[in-house]
Amino acid sequence: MKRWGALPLALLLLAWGIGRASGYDPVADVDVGQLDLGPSAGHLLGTDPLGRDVGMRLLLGVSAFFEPAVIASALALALALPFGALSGMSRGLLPLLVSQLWTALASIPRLVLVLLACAAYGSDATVLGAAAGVSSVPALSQAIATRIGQLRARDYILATRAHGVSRSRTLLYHLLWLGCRGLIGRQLLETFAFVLVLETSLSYLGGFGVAEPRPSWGNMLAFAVSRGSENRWALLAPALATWGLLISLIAASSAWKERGDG
Amino acid sequence: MTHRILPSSLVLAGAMLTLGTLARASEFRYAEDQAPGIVNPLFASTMSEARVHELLFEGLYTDDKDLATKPALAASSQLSEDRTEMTIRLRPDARWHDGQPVTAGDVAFTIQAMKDPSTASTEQGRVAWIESATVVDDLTVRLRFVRPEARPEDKLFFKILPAHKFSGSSVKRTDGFRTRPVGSGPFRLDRYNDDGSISMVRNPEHSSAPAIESMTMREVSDKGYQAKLLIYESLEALVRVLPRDLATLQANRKVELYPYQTNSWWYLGYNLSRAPFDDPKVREALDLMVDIPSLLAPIGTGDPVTGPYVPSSPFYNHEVPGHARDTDRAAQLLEEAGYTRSGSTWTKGGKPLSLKISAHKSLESAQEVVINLQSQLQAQGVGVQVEFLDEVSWRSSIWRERKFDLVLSQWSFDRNEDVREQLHSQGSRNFTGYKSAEVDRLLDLARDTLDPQEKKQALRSVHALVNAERPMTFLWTLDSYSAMSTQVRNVVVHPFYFFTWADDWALQ
Amino acid sequence: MLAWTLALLAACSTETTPPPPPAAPSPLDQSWITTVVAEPQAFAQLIDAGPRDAWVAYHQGDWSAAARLARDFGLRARAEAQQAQLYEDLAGLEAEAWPLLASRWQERDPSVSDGPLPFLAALVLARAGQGPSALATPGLDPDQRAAIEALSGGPALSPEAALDPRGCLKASIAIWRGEHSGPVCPHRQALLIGGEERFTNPLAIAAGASLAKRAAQTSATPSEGLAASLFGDAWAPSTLAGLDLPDAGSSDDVQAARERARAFDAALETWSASLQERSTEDGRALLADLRLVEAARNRVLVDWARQALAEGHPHQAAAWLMLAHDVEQGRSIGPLNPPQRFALAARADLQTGRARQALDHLDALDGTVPELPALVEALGDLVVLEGLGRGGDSKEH
Repeated sequence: MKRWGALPLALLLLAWGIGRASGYDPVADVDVGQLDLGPSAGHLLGTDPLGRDVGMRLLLGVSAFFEPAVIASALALALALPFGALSGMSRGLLPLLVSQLWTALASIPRLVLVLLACAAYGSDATVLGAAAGVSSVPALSQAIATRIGQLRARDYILATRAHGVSRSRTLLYHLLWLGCRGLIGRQLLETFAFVLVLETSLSYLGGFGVAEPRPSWGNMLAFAVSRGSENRWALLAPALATWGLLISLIAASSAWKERGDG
Repeated sequence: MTHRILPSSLVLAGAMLTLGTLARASEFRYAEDQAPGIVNPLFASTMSEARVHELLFEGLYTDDKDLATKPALAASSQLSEDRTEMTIRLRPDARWHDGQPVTAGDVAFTIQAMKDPSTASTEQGRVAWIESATVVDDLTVRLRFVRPEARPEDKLFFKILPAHKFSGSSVKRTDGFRTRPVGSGPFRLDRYNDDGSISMVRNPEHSSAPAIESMTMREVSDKGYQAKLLIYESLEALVRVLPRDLATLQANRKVELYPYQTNSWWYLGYNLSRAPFDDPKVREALDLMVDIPSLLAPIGTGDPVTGPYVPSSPFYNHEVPGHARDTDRAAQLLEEAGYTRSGSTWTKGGKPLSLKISAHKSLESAQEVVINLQSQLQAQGVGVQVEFLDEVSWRSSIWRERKFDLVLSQWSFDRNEDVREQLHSQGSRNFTGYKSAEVDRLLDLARDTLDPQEKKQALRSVHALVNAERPMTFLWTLDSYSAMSTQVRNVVVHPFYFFTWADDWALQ
Repeated sequence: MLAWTLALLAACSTETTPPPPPAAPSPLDQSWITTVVAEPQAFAQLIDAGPRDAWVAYHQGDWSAAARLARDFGLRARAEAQQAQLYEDLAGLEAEAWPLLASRWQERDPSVSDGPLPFLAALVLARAGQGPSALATPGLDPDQRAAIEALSGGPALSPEAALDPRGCLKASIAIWRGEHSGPVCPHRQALLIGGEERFTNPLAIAAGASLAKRAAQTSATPSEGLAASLFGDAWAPSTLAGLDLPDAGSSDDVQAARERARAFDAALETWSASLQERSTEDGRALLADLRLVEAARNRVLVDWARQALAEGHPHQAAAWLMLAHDVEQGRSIGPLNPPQRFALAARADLQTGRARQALDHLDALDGTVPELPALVEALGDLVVLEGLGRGGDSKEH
């Protein structure tokens, strides 16, 4: 089951790659001669109220949350790993300060934090990803610190020390890689799910999310709903895709957790 | 402001629940796409504001049901022999919602504040013909006109404000009045709610004694839900019905439709003070690249227009040829303007031809039009960015600072279809910065003449001139209807202000 | 739609359909709709026997096309009668617009009395049966008086009478009197009077109405049976009286008018449901595709509105005409939007001070009546006149 956890991410990567490589231009795709058509060979999921291909927009819409999710994950890892390790490995003023900092940050609801960032710096993929990443740091960092704290006292860690394995190798390999990779993977899946919900909701609401004509599953849904699209797939496809992916990410993350692997 | 949440059905259920629980026996609830940002008639710029002001405020005169001028706050008037002065006696029983009497000082204050440049009233043009207003006594005010006026009462419809609620002689948008307005109309403001909705209650002191106890204006930004809310009896009225909802609402026995034609037309305005839109060739080229029927197709049926009037207007010049897309001619014009086509884009001096189209977020169907337009222009080698502005940004970027390339919007006119403010070089709504001595002359002539045929011909010439010089690409006019529950009785809708005779309406 | 349904019926007509169950009695059953629904084959045979395009045009409310396409078929007389009714409704508007234009203009600018406008308004009064008040118009010259008398049942106008150099007025008067068979003049062109081209022909619609009426009277013998009633008035006034609908009252009360219409709708709804139950599948398809009941309902409301206008209740007329408007079709003539609806709506609007809105309604009639531009220009002048010196209000959205 653990290996299946990567499946949603692999599929996403594939969809993202196809969307980017297709050269599909959402601006040029407007075709008033083909408004609201049902599925056909030319348009597998039909067209939307502006005659645009729902299937292609669905694929291209992946990049709207995939890219911020990658940024968020990278940033969360980059910040949470050292600080988590530091807090987990040592005691003293610095880890205490870091821990307090994360507690303070965690007291701000994640959504509010992201909205504040978007209001201040705009809502492009980088800002959205960075804000989501930073908002994920406290939980991830805390989890790593706790995990390392638990593992440090385990016999096999003490044994590696007794065998003269260097402190850095113990930390990087034995503690972080062997001990925390499951936890990190699970946290990253949750970050992906968070960014998916975040981006889709913001784009649905309009204002901070991805703005038309660039597709996002959220703005596709909003467009189809508000225009009363006669092609039911214009509405169902983004809704089902969002729901399906979200369930997969959560299921994969839970499966990881149930194995007890972090 | 947007009130959509996922999933969409929750919105409907939630909204119905909220609105339903708030409904009182004699409450009239109507939906607007966007709630007014502030309530102050001196800064009215949208139809939704004009409608709220009609309920809360009064002018010196108003329309009766047969659209003849009748006194509102005025009781009687006398015009001087040379028709340059008018002495107006106010109704002694008129009271502000806070109980204070309406006085001549209020009238003089309102006119002075509207004229005061530091007020920057959007309604300044409506008092430009008044030179001064002098208080004679508490209930008598004397107006002096710039030039003789035949029937000045026809122009004294603007709303009067209570002077005692302001300090100084000017009014600011930011004055506290904006959320705690005090008027003298048939309804008074009860609450300006956090969600932008406005609760109003009957003004028992008003001479018309309205039958409806309370009015609520609700912002329902998603028009798709407005019709459903009406059908499920969570609203009593929709001000404008989407074309796609017309059939459903007409077939519903609990709903009645009312024509609400406000002589409206859509346009794309070019910012003439910015390069390259100051070049008539570039404007014409862009105009020729646009396929208007294709822009219209996704949003409904409408009549294309070739100038600043709707086709049924007496001022519409039917001799102006209809708009036709001609991309070859457009390319030729761009070449004449110094552009060269390199690859898929037009460039001049190494700079690509690109522009930004701005539209108001709450303008219904604007999104479809703008995306479609972006697609059309991009296919012709013009780079296009789009932006949808909220009310605050729209006011500052378009109305005040005029920071835009192209603007997509819609103007609605009362039955006089006066485009002076939009097209005269001194016009307060001339966003495009259009200046034409001939058009100015014709508009002045149309304003001053006593001969209707001369006015008609002058404005038909304005139509032709504006079409030729293209400060705007004129798009279309859409028929519009409002819908009301059959529970609302005695309804007669004013063709522009909608609520003028709401004091006669009653709920069953 | 009709063509499609007819094709469907042709395909189905050979099949035997089960006999409909016995009809529930309702006064509304006394209608051609009941016949069509009960005997769709009879309907199909009738359409097949006559020019199909003419029936389509008649169903669509395009009277002039129906009359043209019907050739000598009995439908022609019916289409011409409808066209004559449309002219009559428009002539009523013309008769109201011109005197109003003259009086309002004189109020604004008394000097207009020196021009031809009072005479033109007097002509309209005379042909509307108000000869004595027309003759009381000050400043008329002998030829102008003779023209007014000619319209008021007096002697024919002398060929030497000088009214307008192009002879449009003389021709119109001759047509009105039945002495000339038209055509009149280009209606977009203004009359040349006193060296100026300012006003259009105030008798244009009346002359057209006169020609249309004569055409209807002299046309083929009226048809019988279903052909005489199909797509026409569905119920006799006595049948409607049997429904006991609430009275619209003796005042111009819009609410009473709406209540009456709602009661009628309720009665129709019940009847229509029972009709559907009783009818065959073909009959139901015809009801739905041709929207027979809705179209017949709208025609009843249009008749009520005409009556209300005659009784001086324009607000009630406007209310009924709004209810008789298929808004989905907007300003297009169609089965649910007969042209007379727009003509009467324009009259109701003019009578309630909404001259500008009257122009919107006339916009829908563009092309139905060639004389229309003459009326539209005059009404346009009235609209402009009422807005003189007013300034105006404009808002976004």
